[in-house]
Amino acid sequence: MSVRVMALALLLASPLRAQNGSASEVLTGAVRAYRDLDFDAAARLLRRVLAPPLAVGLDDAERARALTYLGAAEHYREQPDSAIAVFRRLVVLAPRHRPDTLVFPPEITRLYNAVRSSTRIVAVRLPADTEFGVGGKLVAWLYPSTPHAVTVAISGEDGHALRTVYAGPIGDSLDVSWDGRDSTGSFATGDRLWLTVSSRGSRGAGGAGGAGGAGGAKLRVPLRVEVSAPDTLPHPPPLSALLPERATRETGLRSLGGAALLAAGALTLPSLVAPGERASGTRFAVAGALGVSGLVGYLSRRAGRPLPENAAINQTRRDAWRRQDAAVTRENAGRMRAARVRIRGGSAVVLEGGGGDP
Amino acid sequence: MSTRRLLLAAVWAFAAVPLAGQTPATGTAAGLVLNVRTRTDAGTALGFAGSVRFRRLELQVRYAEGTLQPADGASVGRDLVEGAVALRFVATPWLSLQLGPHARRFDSPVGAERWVTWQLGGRADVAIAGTGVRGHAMLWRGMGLEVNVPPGSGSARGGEVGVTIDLGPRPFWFALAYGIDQAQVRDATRRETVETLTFTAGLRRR
Repeated sequence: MSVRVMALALLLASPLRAQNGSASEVLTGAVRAYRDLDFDAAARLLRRVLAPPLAVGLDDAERARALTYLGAAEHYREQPDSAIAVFRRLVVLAPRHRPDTLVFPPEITRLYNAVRSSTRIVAVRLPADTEFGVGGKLVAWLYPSTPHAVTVAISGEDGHALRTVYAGPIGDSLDVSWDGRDSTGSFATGDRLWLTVSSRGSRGAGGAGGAGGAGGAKLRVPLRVEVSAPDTLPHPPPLSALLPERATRETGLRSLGGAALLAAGALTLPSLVAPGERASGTRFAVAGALGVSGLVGYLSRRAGRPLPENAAINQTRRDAWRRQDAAVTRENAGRMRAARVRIRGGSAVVLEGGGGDP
Repeated sequence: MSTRRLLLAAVWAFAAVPLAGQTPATGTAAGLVLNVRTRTDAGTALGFAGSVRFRRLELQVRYAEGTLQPADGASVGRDLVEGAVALRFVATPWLSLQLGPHARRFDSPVGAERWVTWQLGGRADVAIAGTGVRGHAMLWRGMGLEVNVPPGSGSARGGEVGVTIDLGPRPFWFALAYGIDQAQVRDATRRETVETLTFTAGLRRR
């Protein structure tokens, strides 16, 4: 690499480093101006540091600190609307943040608390990568800006709720867990699922009123859910070929007809097997027995009469089907115990602002 | 694998499949009372029968012996001994095929006379009143007839019609059947026709 190229690279790189470094320097200067009671200069410097490109160099804690000083500066500049807007932005960024009471006077903390109380939003913390088996759960920790009611749901790509995991009040904090399944009990998989937290208007079960349903925030955390599960067996098809359990008109006639046919067969058997021979009368005994049996069969199987033999066969088939189905269910349950669920969470996105006027 | 083995394997696979609602293995044992009539004599024989069934295959045995008295009252009576073994293949709940040897011996003062036939037949079963009362009809044909006195071979055919009463959950069953068979020795103009009325009382084990 030539000396010229090296020099050019250094020239290009130095402003970036200077900008990153100056974010802290500007913030320090703004805090110094605030302490010197130069609120206009402090506000100007803080707005500068909170806007790109300097804002890129701030982490969340520094951004929260900058917003706190900016809200206080705007208050002392007698810009109450601006101060409230800044504090609301601070609540949305860090619902659990509180101004340092050793630095800021009570009037600032009171104003901030009023804004926080009217801004219903929840901060969500969940592991970046979670893996569990059947029986395990993903746990998300929720921290509200103020006690209120929330609905926590898992949503699909289209925003449709797959399962509501919690609906109710939230106080200081709340742990919600999700086992990776939708409302039907099946695993919910996808690259674009969401953990959605909707803050509702009331301040919880014992809340003190407030904005009364107006202005709840909605926050979404992207989830990527993968399930590695073995194939399961199909359940047996429902029973279709069952025998009739009540006799019809044809049932009795069939009995009578069958017996009559056999009786006729007994009478004609000698002429069929031994034509020309004079047969004895013993065949009439069998023909008579068949005739009587046919009559009994006809009378006992008239239309509407129960057919216990068919009912017994059907019961055997049903029992066999149930055993088969239970075996498949057991086998599938065993296979599903080996399933693994992996959930990767992303950064939370606030979709709607969270509150009314303080 | 040879074609014959393949055929046997296919037959066995088909035979091993149970019919719908059928208990895989059953067995029966029964006592028989036979009224036997020929052209010249008649009498009563006692015997037993048994069967073992596994899925679609059933093995049957039957044995009976008795004495026949001549119809004219003047001739000498003769003893009768008969036995049969048959392998039955139940193709459907109402149709089955069976094959097996049947032997009948007449003992008289002049000597023993044996008739041996290989019977191949088909049997149809009809439910008359549920599974409790069933009727059946069977026709068979002799695949070969051997007679010792006078030595010779010939043909035979026969049939049977009967009714069986099964006492439901209890293991007893009763049957009444009428059978007739005719055997004819070739080149001897000799013909023997036997009618039987059989009453059977038996036990069934599932």
